[in-house]
Amino acid sequence: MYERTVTIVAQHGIHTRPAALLVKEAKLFDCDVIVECQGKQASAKSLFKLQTLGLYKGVTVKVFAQGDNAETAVDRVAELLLTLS
Amino acid sequence: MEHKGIAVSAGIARGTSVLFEPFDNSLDYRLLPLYRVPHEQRKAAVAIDRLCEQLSQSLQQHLSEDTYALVEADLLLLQDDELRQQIHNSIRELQLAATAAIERVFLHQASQLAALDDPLLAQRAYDVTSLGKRVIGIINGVGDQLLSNIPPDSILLAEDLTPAEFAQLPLDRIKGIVLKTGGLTSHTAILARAAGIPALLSCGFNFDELKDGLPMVLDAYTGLLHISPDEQTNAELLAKQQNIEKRKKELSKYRDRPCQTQDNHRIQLLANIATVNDIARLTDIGSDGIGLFRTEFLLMDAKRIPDEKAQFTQYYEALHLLGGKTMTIRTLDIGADKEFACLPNKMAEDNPALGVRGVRYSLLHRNMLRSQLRAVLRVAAFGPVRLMFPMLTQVEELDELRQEVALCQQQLAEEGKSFGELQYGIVVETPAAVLNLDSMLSQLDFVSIGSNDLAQYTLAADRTNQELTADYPAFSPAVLKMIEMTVTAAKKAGVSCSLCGEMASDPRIAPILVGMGLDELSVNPASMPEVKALLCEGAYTKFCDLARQALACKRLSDLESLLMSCQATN
Repeated sequence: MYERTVTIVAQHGIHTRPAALLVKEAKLFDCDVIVECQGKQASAKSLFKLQTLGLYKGVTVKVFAQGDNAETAVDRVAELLLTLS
Repeated sequence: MEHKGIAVSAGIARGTSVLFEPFDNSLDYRLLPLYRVPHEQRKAAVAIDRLCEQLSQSLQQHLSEDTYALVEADLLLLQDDELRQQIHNSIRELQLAATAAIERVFLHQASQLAALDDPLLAQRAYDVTSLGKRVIGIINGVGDQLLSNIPPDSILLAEDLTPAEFAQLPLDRIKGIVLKTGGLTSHTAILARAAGIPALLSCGFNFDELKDGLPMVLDAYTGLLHISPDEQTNAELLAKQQNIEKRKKELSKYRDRPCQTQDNHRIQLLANIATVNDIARLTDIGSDGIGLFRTEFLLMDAKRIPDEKAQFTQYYEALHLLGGKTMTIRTLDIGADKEFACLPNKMAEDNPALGVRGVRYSLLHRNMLRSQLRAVLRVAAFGPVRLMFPMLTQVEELDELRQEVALCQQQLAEEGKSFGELQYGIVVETPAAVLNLDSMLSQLDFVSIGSNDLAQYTLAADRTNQELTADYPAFSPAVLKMIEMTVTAAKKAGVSCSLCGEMASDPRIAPILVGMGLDELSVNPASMPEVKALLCEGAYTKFCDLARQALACKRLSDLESLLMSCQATN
């Protein structure tokens, strides 16, 4: 399993629009990427779950995955969490 | 007949009514026989697919970037396996019919979003609920009302419009939109404003009383929907509309320019507001931000004192609408002429204007003060916020207030809540504040002259006493001296100086104030276009001349003739 930890810097957090972009990107990978935040987990492919995590500015998020291309997928999702706003 | 609503996207629209009746959202709550489970599961899946199809189609149309993103997010949500799985499970495990299962899953999602204590997601929760209702409407067979068949010059009346529905509207045929639901930051409000269509939200009309084809006038200045207005009302509204359009045309050339004189002197031109609603109208008058947010109006219709969270939500909405422009919050200015139902009765005072008001009240009610300071500090994490204290006369009050701020910062840090830097100021509205200013300036980033009260206290003339107002005007030699002293002291200390009283909104006086060295004027939104046009068309050197002449006037009559000559040359 490969994992990375990032802190959200986007002023308004990762809300609907950035979250939707993230989901679209995550769906390009075969492996399931899990985002964990404040004790709650969600698949990066599910906007439905992702929205309820509370990805505010300043919170720390763990991203991890297993399987095909896990590393690339985690890096991509982590990068998006850092850059989307 | 008239109905009141929250006006977004200012303007007056006239047209004929088109009713967009609410979906049939009725739910089937009967216990589902087990053999019907697969059938209901299929029904849910088909309805969701159907809506996905509709949304995909509207994505093909020419959409604004905002609308596209919102519709796409709705679509992603509907395509979500997790969502479909939960609906599937609810039908099987709880033996719910498709409609009841969908309602349950969407409501659960909405409540989770609402629980996140984030104003933007609270709005999203509302969108999610609407999306669920749309799927239910399709199952009940009524979700296909054609929005594209609307006749020209229509005023659309609906329960609610989702972004997807908004995307399908033939905007060239719609003059105005009236909804029973929604608020200023709801997506429909944002979309209507972007499209420049006058709209009323949370309007209390009743579908049963209306039908298609009624003549209607929507006045988004007063927030009123006039249904079949009589001849006189109609004529008045028409005149108002023509006036506004004419003036708008004249003044609009300055709207998107910075407020700058012909000889390149830049003035910050800000607006005075009382509620978040006022900000929606600011977008089309070209202000540099808010110079005075009278927060005591939050208490106006409130049954209880708004707590930190309620205040934070309001300030956040305001800041969000301002899109990066400065917001100046004045702490609760309670006392004197302002009475509020939600506050405990104040002790009767012989002289309320000289009694417990402004920061004097705040310092006696620390819990209320702290909840406001915390809300303001927290919202400052999201944009530029300035805080100013009303009726502050002595440096000791300022010391205490800064200690309270430090305490709140410490508490927030301990609770792990984010907060931002503030700029601090006071409202200079008493002779004492003017005379004591030197001892306070080191703790201040700006001062704002409250010329209405400064005049009342300088002249010792009650500004509400009609026998006095004509003979003791604010624009008088004594008050001008007070303003001059304030500006001089502030300049010397490198502190920026603003004026937020009525004087600044008087197009004859505003140039004189700029000439006196004020860096900022904060005016009533309605006066802003005129004041801005005047300042942009004039020269700073001329304003300085005028200011010198005004300060040299020894009599009210001299000042009066100076104003007359200003008006003549303009």
